Amino acid sequence: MATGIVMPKAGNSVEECILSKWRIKVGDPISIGQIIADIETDKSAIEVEATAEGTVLALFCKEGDLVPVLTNICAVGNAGEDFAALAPSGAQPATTPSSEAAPAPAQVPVVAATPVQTPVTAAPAVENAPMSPRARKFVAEHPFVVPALQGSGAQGRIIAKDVEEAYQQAPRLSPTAAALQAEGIKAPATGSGISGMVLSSDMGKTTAAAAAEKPAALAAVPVAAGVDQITEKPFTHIRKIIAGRLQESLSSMAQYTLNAEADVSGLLSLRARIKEQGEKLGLANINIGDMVMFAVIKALEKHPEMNGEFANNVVKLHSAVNIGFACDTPRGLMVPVLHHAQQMSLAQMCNTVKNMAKQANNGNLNPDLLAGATFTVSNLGAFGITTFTPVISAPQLAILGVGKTLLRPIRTKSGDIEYRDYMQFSLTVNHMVIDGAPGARFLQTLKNLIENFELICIAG
Amino acid sequence: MSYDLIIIGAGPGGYEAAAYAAKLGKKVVLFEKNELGGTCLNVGCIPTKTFLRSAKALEDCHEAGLYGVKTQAAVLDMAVVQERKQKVVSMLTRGVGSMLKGAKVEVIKAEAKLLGGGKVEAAGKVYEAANVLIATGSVPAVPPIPGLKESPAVLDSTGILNLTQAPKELVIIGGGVIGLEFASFFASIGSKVTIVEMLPKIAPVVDDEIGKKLMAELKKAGIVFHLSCKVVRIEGNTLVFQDPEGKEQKVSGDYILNSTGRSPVLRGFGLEECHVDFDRRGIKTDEFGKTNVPGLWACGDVTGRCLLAHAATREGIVAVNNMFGKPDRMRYSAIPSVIYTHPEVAQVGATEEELKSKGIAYRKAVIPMAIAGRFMVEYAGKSGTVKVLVGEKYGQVLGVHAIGGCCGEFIASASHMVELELRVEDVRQIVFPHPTISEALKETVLHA
Repeated sequence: MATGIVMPKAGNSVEECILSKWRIKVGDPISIGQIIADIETDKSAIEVEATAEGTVLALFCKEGDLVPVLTNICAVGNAGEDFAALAPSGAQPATTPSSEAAPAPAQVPVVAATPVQTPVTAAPAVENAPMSPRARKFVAEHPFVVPALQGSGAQGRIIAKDVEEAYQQAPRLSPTAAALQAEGIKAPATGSGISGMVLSSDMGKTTAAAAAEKPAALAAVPVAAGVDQITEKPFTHIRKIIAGRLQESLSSMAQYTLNAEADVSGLLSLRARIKEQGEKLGLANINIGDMVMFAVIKALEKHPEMNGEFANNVVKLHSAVNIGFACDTPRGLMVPVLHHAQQMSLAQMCNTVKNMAKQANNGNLNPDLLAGATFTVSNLGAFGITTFTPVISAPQLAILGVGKTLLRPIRTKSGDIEYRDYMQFSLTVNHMVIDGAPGARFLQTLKNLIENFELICIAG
Repeated sequence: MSYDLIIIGAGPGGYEAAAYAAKLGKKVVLFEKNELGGTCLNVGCIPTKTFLRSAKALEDCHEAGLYGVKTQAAVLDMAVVQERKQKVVSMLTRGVGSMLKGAKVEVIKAEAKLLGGGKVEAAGKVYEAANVLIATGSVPAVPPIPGLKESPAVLDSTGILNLTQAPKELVIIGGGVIGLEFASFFASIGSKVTIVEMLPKIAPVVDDEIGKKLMAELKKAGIVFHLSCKVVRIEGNTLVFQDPEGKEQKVSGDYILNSTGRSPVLRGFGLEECHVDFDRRGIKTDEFGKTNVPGLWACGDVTGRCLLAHAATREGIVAVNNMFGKPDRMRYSAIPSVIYTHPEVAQVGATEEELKSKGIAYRKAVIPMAIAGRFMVEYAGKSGTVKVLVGEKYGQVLGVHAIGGCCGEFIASASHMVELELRVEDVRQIVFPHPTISEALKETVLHA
C-alpha cells in the first residue's frame, strides 16, 4: 500500500514550511533516511529524510510552495499503486517529472549512445536554484562552468534553454577536468586552457590561481574599458525574513550604542591555566568568549531591566535569562538561544553553546532553539572588530556586541604605567525603554564581573 | 608620427601580429630591414622545404617501378631547384606584402632602433607608439670553434641554400633539426654526408624511441653519424673532432655546414639602452608577451622560448591581445613540431622521458603506421610508427610522436587532443575518414 511522507513539524512554533528544493523525482527508488527535499522555516533550512521506502509515486507540491506541517508532500510505494487518498485536498500531484522534459533518470548513464559514463552527479555549481531534468542532462553532457543563473522557468526554475545559452558564453571543462569534477573536485570559475577552458591541472584551485591574469595596467597603454559582469542573486526565503526583521528593528526603535571596555587579564590567565590543567577536570574547551558570555548572564541577573522584550507599549521582563548568541553559518546569520542560562555552570553553558553552534552550522538545529531570546550577544572580536553598532533583535530590549582586546596603558596605584588587555564592548539599547544611565550601569556591572571573574565563579 | 603599435621585424611573429592588430582597428607600423617574411620565408622553413620536395620527386622516380611505372634514370638539376625555390619564396613574400597592404599596415623597409619611451627611430625619422613589439628573430649561431670563421668551406644554413651543385662530400656540425633536414636532402641527391654531434643523440627534443628510428632510417640513406663527439678545430675543409674515447679524428668535405643552433638578434637596435632584461637565450618575456619594460613586448625567436615559426605567430597574437585589453596567454603544452627529413617526424605534447622525469603515471601505445590501410597504398616498401602517451588514470592524451608517411599533416589533429585534454574514450567518438593515414593516429590512441 502506498504511504505518504509528511512535511515535518520542525519545532513547536513552526506551522508551515517552504519546500525549497526536491531532491527526488517521480519514479526514483528511495530508502528510509534518504534526503528527499530541502525545506525552509522562517529561521532555518532543514533537510527532510524519507520516512518510508519504495518508489516515489507522486509529489504533492512544487518547489517554492508553502506547506502546512504534517501534510503529505509525496507518496511512496510500489510502482502502479493507487495514491489518490494520500493527496492533500486540493493538491495537484505531479506524477510526471516535469511538463518540459522527457524522463532523464538521475542514476543511469546519461544517454545510451554515449558510452562515456558522465554521471549526472557531476553537479553544476548552482546550489540553490532548482534545475529541470533536461537542463541537468545538458549540463552533464556538456561540462562547463555553470554560473549562478536566473532561471526563466516557473518560479525561477532553470530550464534547458538557460543552460544552453550559458554554455555558449562560459568557460568549458575539458573532458578530463569533467572527470575530476565528477569525483567531487571543484572547478574554478575560469581555467588556463583555450578561452578559459578549465583543465585538469586547474581543478581544485581558486579562480585567481587558475585563470589567465589580466596584465597589470602599463603606463601609457590605452587599455579598453573592462567588462563589468553582473551576477544576480535573488533573496532566499530566509534572507528576506532576516532583512525584514532588521529593517523593522531599526525603524521601530530609538537605538543607541554605548561603548566600554574591561580589563581581561584575569580571564586571560584563567584561560591559560584551563588550557594547561583543564582537560583533567573536563574543562578543556572553555575559552574567553565563553567566560565573557557567562559574565553577561550574571550581569543580566543583576539588571533584570535589561532582560526582556518591548512591544505595544508594554515592557515584558523575564526571570529566566534566555541568551541568544549570533552564529555566522553557511546559511547566513542564525541566533541559537540558551534557555534558562542562569541555571547553568560555566562548563555546562560552554558545552551547550558549542553543540548548538555546531548544529546551527550543519542546518539541523531545532527551530524552537532559535526563538525566545531575552538578550543577545554578538561577538566580532575574531574578525578584528573593536567596536560596532549591533542592531537589536526585536522585540528584545538590548544587544551586546563584543570586540577584540586592545592594549591600553593604565596608571597603577604607585603611579607607574602598565599595559593591560582591554576587551571592547558595544551595547545597543532601545532608548524608548532604557536610558543612558541604566545602560551605562549595566556595562559597569559587566566590567566588574569580568575583572573579578573568579569571584563570580565562586558565587556560582 | 603616433601609432598604436610599432613592430620591429616582419617574420612570422611580426607580420602576423601586425595584420591582426590592424584588423582590430589599430594604427600599426611594421619595420623590416631585409625581406618581408623574415627567416622562415626567405632562408628557413620555406626554401628548405622546396629543396626537400625536389628530393622527394627524385626519390619517387627511383621508386616508380614499385607502382608499375617505368622511368629512365632521373637526374636532379640544382640550378632548376634553385629557380623553383626562388619562385616560391618570392611569391610568398609578395603575398605577405599584399596581405599587409590589404590589412592597412604601414610597412617601412628600414632598420629600426629603440629610443625608449615608446619611440623608435628609422631612416632619420622618429616614430612613437603606446606599444612596441620586438620580433627581430634569430640568426645562425657561430660557435667558438678555432678555424671556423676563417675557413671558406664553412657555410651556415643561409649560405648552403645558395649552392648550385650537390657537393660530393658534406660534413655537418650539429645533429639538430636543421642539420638533419640538410643531411636528408643532400644524401637523397647523392652527396656523402657525415654528421658530427656533441650530444649522445640526434634531435634532442624528439622522443627517444622515435629519435632512434629516425637515425636508423637516415643511416639507411647512407648518412654517417659521429655522436658524443666534440669539434676541436677546423682546418680548411677538414674538421677535427674528439671521439668518446678521447681520440682525435678527422673528416673532410667540399663544404662544412655549421648548424649548431640559432642565436637571438639582440644587438644593434637599442635593447641595452632601454634596460630590457635579456640574456644569451633571448629577451625575457612572460606568458603574456611582456618584457620588464612597460610598453615593450617581444615574440618569436628573439625570446628564445620556442624556436618555431608557428609559436612566434601565436606569441605575437597573444601580445597584441594583451596590449589592447583582451586577456590572452601563451600555452606551450601542445605546440606541434615537424622534422621534414625523409621519412618525416612529427610530435606534440610530452615525450616519454619528460613524463618519467616528472613522475607522471602514463600508459603508451606504439603502433606501426601500416595499421592504416592507406599507408601501404601510398608508401610501398616503407615503414612508419605512431606512439601515443596517455595519462594512467583518466586516459587523456599527453603526447603523440610519429615517424613516416605524412605524419606532419595529421599531427595537427593530435595537438587538438592534447590541448583539449581529450581522453581515449573521447577520441573513440571522433570519426576519422577512411582510407586515410590519419586513422593510424586514432588507432594508436585507442590502443593506449
